[in-house]
Amino acid sequence: MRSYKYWTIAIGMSVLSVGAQAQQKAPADNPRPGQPGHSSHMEWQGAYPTPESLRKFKFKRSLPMPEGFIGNLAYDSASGRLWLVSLGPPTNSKGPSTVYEIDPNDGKILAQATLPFKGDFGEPVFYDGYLYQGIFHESKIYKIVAGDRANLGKIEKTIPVPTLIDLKLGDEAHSYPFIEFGGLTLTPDKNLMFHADDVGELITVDRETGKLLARVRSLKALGGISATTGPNGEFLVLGNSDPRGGYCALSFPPALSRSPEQKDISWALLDGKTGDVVASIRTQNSRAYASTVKIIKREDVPGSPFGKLTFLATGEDGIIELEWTPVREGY
Amino acid sequence: MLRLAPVIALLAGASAGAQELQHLRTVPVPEKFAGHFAYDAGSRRLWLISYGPPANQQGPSKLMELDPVSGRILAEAELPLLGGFGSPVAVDGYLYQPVSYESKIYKIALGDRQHLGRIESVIPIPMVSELISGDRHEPLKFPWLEVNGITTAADGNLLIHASDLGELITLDRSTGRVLKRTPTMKGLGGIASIKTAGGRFVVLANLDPDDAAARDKARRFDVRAPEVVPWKRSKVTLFAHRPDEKVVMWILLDGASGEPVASIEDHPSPAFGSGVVVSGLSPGDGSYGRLTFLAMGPAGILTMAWDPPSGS
Repeated sequence: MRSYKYWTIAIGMSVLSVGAQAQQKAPADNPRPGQPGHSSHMEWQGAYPTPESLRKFKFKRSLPMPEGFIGNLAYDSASGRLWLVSLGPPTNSKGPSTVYEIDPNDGKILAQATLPFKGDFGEPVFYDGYLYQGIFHESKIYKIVAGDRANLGKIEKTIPVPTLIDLKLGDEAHSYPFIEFGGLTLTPDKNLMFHADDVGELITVDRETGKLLARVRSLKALGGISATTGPNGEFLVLGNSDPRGGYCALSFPPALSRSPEQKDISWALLDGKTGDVVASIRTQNSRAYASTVKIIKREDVPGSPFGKLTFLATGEDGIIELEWTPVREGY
Repeated sequence: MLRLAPVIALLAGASAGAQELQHLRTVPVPEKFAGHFAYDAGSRRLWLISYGPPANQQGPSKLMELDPVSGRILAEAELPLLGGFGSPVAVDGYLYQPVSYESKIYKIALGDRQHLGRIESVIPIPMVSELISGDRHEPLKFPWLEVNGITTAADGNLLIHASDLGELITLDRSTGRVLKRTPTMKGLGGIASIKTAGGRFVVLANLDPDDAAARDKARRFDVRAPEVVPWKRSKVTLFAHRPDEKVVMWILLDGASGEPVASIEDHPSPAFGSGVVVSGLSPGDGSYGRLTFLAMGPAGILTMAWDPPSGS
């Protein structure tokens, strides 16, 4: 298979040359710029598609979303329940941030509640009756009742998350102290892993205290992330990326990652322990945004190293269900 | 820069007959300093305020009083501020330091050198959603107002420039209550107000078009931009203080209407499109008078002069 794993583009932005790079394979000890063993992020666009690889990536169905919805989704694969959380003003000009429970069969709103959140934020993740919703610019994750429909939207507690200062980034200067993260998922031990866009790391924090547990360098500029367990017990993380975002060293603000003009979206399957890309595909004329993603299930497939992933994303058609049988990354 | 094209065209026309800017002298600042300055023209005292981590790699945010001639540090105090922020203003013995992402202005003691750096109070800055609502406005990523410039209003209150909305907003100096909103240009760097000899309230501002475009896109998620513009949101606040060659436009705004009444382009500019303080006003060829002002650049704090032409 012809594969273009890394595309390097000279973009001539001297101030931001580090930021305009995506990732090489990084050692697990996570050296930062200026530290021994550091390797810069490099541009990453995903494996260029072939007819064979495209046949392994399929659109299954779509569900409508509430009128004018802009936001993210959460899914409980055990119960099959589905939630949406809309962004707050001034990012969302249609009204306040709202959590919806959606019928996964027809998209009908089953329940909804207003949330106090402002501005842009990333995707929530469901666990044990609660949505964990990160508000990166507050350096907090909100624990929100979701399982009990009568109390939907009740904020149970807030969990502090580390800041960029806690990451001790050495020579890197950042304007804001908070870590900007979009993707949020569960680790195998049910802690929370988020993707720190600006530093290109997968960061694991304790689910209830927010204590920093682990960090691993990975791609920059991912949209959503969703974790699963591989056929041999591997910790796998599915993520998506807009090549234009990688090119610009941008992570994924809402209107960029959710624009109808967006055509090419790259999908990456990451080793959750090392942050390495183990499989990828660049989908053309994508129906999905490079944004929130939730794995519904993973099934073993004979001859396939990772099996078949069925997952939800969002796009112009609403909530869309996709299927991908990844092929191991090769040169 | 596409968004700024009409503005640039206007300014280019406006600057046609303008007298050149003069660069008079430079006061050095500590090596690797990253932050802003403030100046009190009445007492001729000069201060620096450095960013906090993670914008400042040298340590915590600090407030320093400098000798305005030699740049020697006379006193200093640590501050609890984090990240990057816009330029402050010194008024009546206090530094008013906006920190956009906290939607706060810190009122910090300056007058008494022994208590330098003591935070006297915190004044709220309104959030974007308190000023605009409904779907008539463009979506913005962050809920806070981006405040890069602050100065004194005509009535002695605080005048901030909401860069992303393109408004001059007068806030009550004690409570932060919004007293007045005046539409003006977006993307300005620093602002400094002054009353001309004729009693007209004007605001001297600067604009770095590349920085303004970068901030505009970072706030609005626009990908249709020239490639020379940086995109990295986490760097954008710091971009105005880049050492590269840059264009900076100096603009005189009518304080009442917010309209530009004179402008001049400086290329290459020794100053950043950032904090500015008017240090003097003397008779000039135009009706506004000759402005002497301080601005920051890679070499330190610059003293500059401009005699804006009338009727431009």
